[in-house]
Amino acid sequence: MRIPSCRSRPLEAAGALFVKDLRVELRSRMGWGLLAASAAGITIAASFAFGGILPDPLTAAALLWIIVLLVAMAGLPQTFVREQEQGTAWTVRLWADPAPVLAAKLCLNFLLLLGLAALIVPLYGLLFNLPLAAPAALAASVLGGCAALAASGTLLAAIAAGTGARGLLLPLLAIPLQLPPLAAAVQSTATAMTGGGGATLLPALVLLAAQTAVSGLISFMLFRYIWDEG
Amino acid sequence: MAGPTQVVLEGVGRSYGRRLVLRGITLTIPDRSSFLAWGPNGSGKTTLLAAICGLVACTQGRVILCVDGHVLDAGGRRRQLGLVSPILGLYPQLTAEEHLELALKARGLGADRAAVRTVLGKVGLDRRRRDPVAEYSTGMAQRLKYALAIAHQPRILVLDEPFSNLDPEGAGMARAIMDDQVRRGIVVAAACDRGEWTDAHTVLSLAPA
Amino acid sequence: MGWPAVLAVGMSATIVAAFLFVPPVRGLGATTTILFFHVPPAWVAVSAWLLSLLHSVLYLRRGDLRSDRKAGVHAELGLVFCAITVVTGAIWARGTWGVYWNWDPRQTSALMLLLIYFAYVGLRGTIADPIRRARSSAAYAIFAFAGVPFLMFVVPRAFPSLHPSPIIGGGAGGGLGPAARIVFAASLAAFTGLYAWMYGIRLRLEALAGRPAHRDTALSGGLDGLVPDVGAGSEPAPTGDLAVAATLAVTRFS
Repeated sequence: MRIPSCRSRPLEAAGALFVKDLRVELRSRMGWGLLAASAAGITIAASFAFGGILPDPLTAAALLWIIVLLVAMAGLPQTFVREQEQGTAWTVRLWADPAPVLAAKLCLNFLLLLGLAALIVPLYGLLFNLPLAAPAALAASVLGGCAALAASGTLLAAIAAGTGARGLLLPLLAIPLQLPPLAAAVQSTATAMTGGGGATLLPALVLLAAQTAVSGLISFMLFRYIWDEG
Repeated sequence: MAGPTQVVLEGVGRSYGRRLVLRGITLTIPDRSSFLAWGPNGSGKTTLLAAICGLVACTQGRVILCVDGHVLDAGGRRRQLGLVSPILGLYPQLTAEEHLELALKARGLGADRAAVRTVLGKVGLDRRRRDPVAEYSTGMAQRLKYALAIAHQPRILVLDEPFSNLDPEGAGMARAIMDDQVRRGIVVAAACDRGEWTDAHTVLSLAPA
Repeated sequence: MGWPAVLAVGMSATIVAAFLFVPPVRGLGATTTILFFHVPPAWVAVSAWLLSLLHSVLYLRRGDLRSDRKAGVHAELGLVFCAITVVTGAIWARGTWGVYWNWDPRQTSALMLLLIYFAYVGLRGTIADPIRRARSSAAYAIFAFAGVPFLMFVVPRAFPSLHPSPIIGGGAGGGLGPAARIVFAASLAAFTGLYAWMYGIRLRLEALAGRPAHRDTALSGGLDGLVPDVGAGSEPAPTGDLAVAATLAVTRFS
């Protein structure tokens, strides 16, 4: 017979953990500011390398998402690496069930990618003189792409942070799995840039949503094995 | 609530790769008692305590925690167990108050301000409760770990090196907390020096692996 | 000693037969031969990865590190056979389509699988503690495999492909003649035998490296269904002759 999990409030726990994660990231010296700076730097370098002109919308969309992917590979493991290096991973394992921990990390990483995209996308458009043909479609593509990258990248970031190579292993683990969502995000962003209609946009967005849902669900099933030992 | 409260180890062992750190430890710690494992560095004290807390998996045997006759599952263990240990890190970016609120809410318990302040008062950190832990001395951090370990009134309190980094007053506080805990439940402690704490009811000496 | 010799003879006979006795299949011409070195390893690789996945799931259910070893070895060998498939496929593509690589849906999915399992093997190499390694790599394998049905079955069929599978697999009355079918079956058997042989050697080596016996008791069922201390004695000790056999096997293998 087991003690009933009395008064267990997973949502409240997840909320408290998310607030903690956000506070820790925002109050850290080596935090999101550095990521934002490198995101801006990569965007500027890309524009410079192309001489400020892109041949077609597909190239524009692909380059944009490669920049986001690069920055995501550096940013997604950060919170787990920090917990590992501060020794707070043990503390959190002692206090919290794995599911609320993952929920908080997923939200944090989604927020991080959205923030970085909010910096990269306007800067990119500005530097390449891209017209803003369909703002709503562009926003939906960016939102969907960030959600899919965060959902499929967070569990892998936790795995990578637990290895001897820390966050550096993430690109190796994540990139093969992120090619399908990347392709979908590129497709929908290219459509949005040309102002194309929903007929081509919708399938890509549905694919991104499905990818987000499936990755998120499987992450919740597997997270306890890589996070907890007991 | 007639059932027993106890910590049971059945042939507990743990190896890391080829290195065997613990082997075949079998014992029972009854309610309202204290237990001390002592031994030199590398004798597996920290691993033993981490295994009791469910932080590391055993490679042999198992640990059973019972409270009032109920065997604790992972969630129950999180609510019924407190740990003070050098392996537990604190967030330098957060204040003592934020730590305590998190420790309670993450366990699925409510955190009210008054209770948080009472616990901080007990470990002598009330005046510094709004300072980030980065500004704490190691002794103050150890006091905060005590506050975090007892805030949810666990039945089982696990202490790894209970007196490390504490001044005489802090050591007195730790002793008071341990005595108090033995009246309400179980204390499991580990130390390098057996003489540090002579009140333990059961003592196990560990040899280096 | 016996059956590796049988395997060597069988494999050699298959190679000779593939070059000498199989008439060209319509639509493939002289490149028909490569079929026998492209499709069987692909099937073997996919089976290996399915077995690896099965053992990963078993590990997470039972916590037996022997399952983890099997999962690791299957994944690693699947990588070797998939590499054979990709290389022979690229050569074949050069022969029939004129280019080595054209992001054909099947080429894409094979390459992605190759990358995924390359990452899997890399992941195993960076974690020292066997239990953490077993748990992380099993979780990665399952997480990655959730995308594999998509890669293996949706992509190749949803997009137009030049891939000649209709010619080979097109039902019972497909395009292969009787001679080709016999050689194909022989090749499949030879590649499967080769796989089994390599698997046995790798697994023994892993077992030797992985002593002392472990068991992740946190995964092995808690209070119900636990047989006390099964992990400790159930694994064969690395007796002298086992070590010698493994060394011999490696010498012959390399």
